[in-house]
Amino acid sequence: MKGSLTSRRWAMTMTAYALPFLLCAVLLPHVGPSTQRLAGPYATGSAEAEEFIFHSLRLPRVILALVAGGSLAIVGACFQVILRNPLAEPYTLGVTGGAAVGAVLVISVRRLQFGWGPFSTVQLFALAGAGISVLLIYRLARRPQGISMSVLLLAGVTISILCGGLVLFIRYIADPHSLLSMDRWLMGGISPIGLGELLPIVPFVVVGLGILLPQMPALNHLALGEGIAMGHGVDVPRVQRMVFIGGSLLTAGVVSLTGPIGFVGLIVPHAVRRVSGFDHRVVVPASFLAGGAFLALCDTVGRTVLPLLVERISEAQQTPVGVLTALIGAPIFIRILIGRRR
Amino acid sequence: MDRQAMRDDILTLENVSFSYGDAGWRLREVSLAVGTGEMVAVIGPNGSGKSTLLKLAAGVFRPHSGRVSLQGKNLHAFDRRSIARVLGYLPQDVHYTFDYTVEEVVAMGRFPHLSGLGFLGRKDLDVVERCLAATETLPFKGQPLSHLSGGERQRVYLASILAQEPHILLLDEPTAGLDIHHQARFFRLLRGLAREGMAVTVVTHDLNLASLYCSRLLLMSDGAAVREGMPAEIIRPDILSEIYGEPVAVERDPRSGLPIVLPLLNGV
Repeated sequence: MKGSLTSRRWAMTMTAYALPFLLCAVLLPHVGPSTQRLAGPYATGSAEAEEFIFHSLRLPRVILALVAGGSLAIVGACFQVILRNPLAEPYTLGVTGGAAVGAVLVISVRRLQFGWGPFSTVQLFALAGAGISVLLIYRLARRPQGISMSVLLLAGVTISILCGGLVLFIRYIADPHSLLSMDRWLMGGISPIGLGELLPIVPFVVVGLGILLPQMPALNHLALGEGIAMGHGVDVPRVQRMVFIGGSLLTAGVVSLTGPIGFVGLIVPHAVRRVSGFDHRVVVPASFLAGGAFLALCDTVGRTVLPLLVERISEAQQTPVGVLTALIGAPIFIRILIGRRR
Repeated sequence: MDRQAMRDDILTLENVSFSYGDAGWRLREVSLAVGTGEMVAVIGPNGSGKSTLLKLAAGVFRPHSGRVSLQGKNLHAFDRRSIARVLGYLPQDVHYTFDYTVEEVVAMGRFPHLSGLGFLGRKDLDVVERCLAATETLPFKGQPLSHLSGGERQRVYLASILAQEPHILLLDEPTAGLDIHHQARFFRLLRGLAREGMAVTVVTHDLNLASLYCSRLLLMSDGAAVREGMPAEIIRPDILSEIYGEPVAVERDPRSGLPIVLPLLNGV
């Protein structure tokens, strides 16, 4: 926004974004109705039950929300730059479409239930589906000089539509009893049981972030065009490839566990840019911190406030967090848009 | 090393050829050498290969045959950052997706000199300030690009290229779409840089600006270099009429004595 970015201003901005993220991490696991209000076996109020709810339900849930929201937002921030399209989001490049086909397919074939280590069956198939669509799109967009961003965008959108059709078709022919679990997956949700369920996505998140984060200084140059970025000394094909690979890994890992959660990856990066300017050395990490905090807050509202308002939803049930991200996020973003115009 | 390399040529293209994959058009064995303190214009009709030649010179494309040398060494043996420290390239298609401030854009030019997150040090800030001053964009320093006119924005992009501290400048139609004031101002700026020792190559459609400000012209047609020489040797009615397929009149600028081109009112 103001002058060029100094290390001091960068550190201050990062601190400002990290604080709410850390507050969410520390406080939100403690938020929720006490066990006395619950029905069934947990209605004991015993320390043991409280302990279980904290360590096996709320803590992993908040951690997953922070990581998933952060990952989706950071991928959105990077994809919007390399595709030079403000509507790009983590799901633009077909990763999620492939994952959905894999997940829905395996849910429809109910006898096909096997896990592998910490991976669930659905997760394995979602990852496989994501992998197949990413490889397909990459092959389509590959050119001798690098990957063509316009083909990448078109191929991604086409594969997503194809996958959407496949999902509908599978739903149409599937056993009606499996439809509910399909919808649950397709709506996206954050409900891990135990920290162990988070293990499978650790390598995806670590490697994905490890690939994405070093690219952030180059993204500013790409936002002025591929030609001038080359001129400034950016290895453009390499940056584009790295962002595509890193972003796909992150998205696939997160989506395989949570299903598609909308809105975060699209809007959070724009909100961050509105507030903190367009320097992607700030935007990229800040999107992670803001996206994580935002999703964790939405999910907390979903499991605490919403059950009070809507009788049918209890804490034990999965909250459609994707609904909440849109319902809470859209007004916030509209407020930011209005605030800027003045 | 032969005589050619002994000269101050810091960027040389020897018989470079290139095609875009699909059959038909190709750039055929073009050679060009630019030395320090020189200002060379590449001119020619639309589709004659001017921009392609410039992209080959900047290392954006790799020639299918022939060789591009930077300070005597193969250009493609350098990585992009090393190239950018010597060679500044301003392409035609700069479109800002995000509304960066002038200072941010110029600071981006320091990229090849910085590592890590690329925060500017004292020296870098001085360079940025100097480049803003040199391109007369200092007054806009804190403004977003969207507040600037086309001519001002073009000077900001030039400033960001200059912040790389290059010895060679390659500019692709930097004054297209600018009014006469901004065109002349931009070319005077380039001439000043050349006089300070920069090797400048500029692709332009404006034959008069090329004639008035450049010491040497390369005329291209249909993927080949057809003529190279001083303005008086190239800006001739017979040559231009043939290459452009349009009869033109060439007059003499009474002040500089340099040739200037006019289209014929009725085409004959």
